[in-house]
Amino acid sequence: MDSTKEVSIDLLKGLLVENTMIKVDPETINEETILFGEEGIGLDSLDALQMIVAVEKRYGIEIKDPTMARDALQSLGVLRDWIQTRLTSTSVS
Amino acid sequence: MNTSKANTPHGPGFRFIDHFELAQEGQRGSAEFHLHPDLWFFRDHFPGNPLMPAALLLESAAQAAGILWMSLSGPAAEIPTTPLFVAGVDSLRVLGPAYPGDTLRTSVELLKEFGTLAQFQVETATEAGVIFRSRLTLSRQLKG
Repeated sequence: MDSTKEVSIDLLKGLLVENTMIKVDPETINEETILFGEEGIGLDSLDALQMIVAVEKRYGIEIKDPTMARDALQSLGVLRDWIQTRLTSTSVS
Repeated sequence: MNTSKANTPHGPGFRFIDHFELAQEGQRGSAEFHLHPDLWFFRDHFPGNPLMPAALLLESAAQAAGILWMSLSGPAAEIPTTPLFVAGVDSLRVLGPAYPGDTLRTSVELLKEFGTLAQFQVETATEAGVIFRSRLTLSRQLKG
């Protein structure tokens, strides 16, 4: 697999640390940690935009609207699966 | 290019764009602002050594980004009444000074529009070269 297309929790956590204002120790974030809202680690809409731009740049996947982003950015595990699904459908089509 | 006199919601004392040009292709534009030696901030920043404050270079770039966003969003007539707010600043670099008599030329490109937010790449130059570069995020809502 092209190394730029690798999708892993560690890699996505790296994008999260580089591009958002997380207020918790990154070591405490796992693939099931809720990222946004009061029940999560408190990321906001600006953090979402930063992550979207980072994901688009790295994987070439366009995230068009806030509803799609909300679905994809629930947690790092959900984001990993979401990206893998789109990369697979892109390579097949 | 679609050239227009810059309209922003700001009052005249806090407007740092004279003219704005919207590129015909792509989501980009360019703005100009002449630094008249009588501008209010030169007197005290600094006495005897006037420079445009970096914070105002950022404000000028943000105003250019705002004009671009509004120009891409709707009729030009709506621009003066639509306030936008700086929500984020990333990768900011001040690369040189802006002196009285210089003309700031700011190029701005819309990178991503997302709900009430939009992110832009901005770069400002004078005759001496590029003096300011940043990635800015504007919001249609004042976060409270």
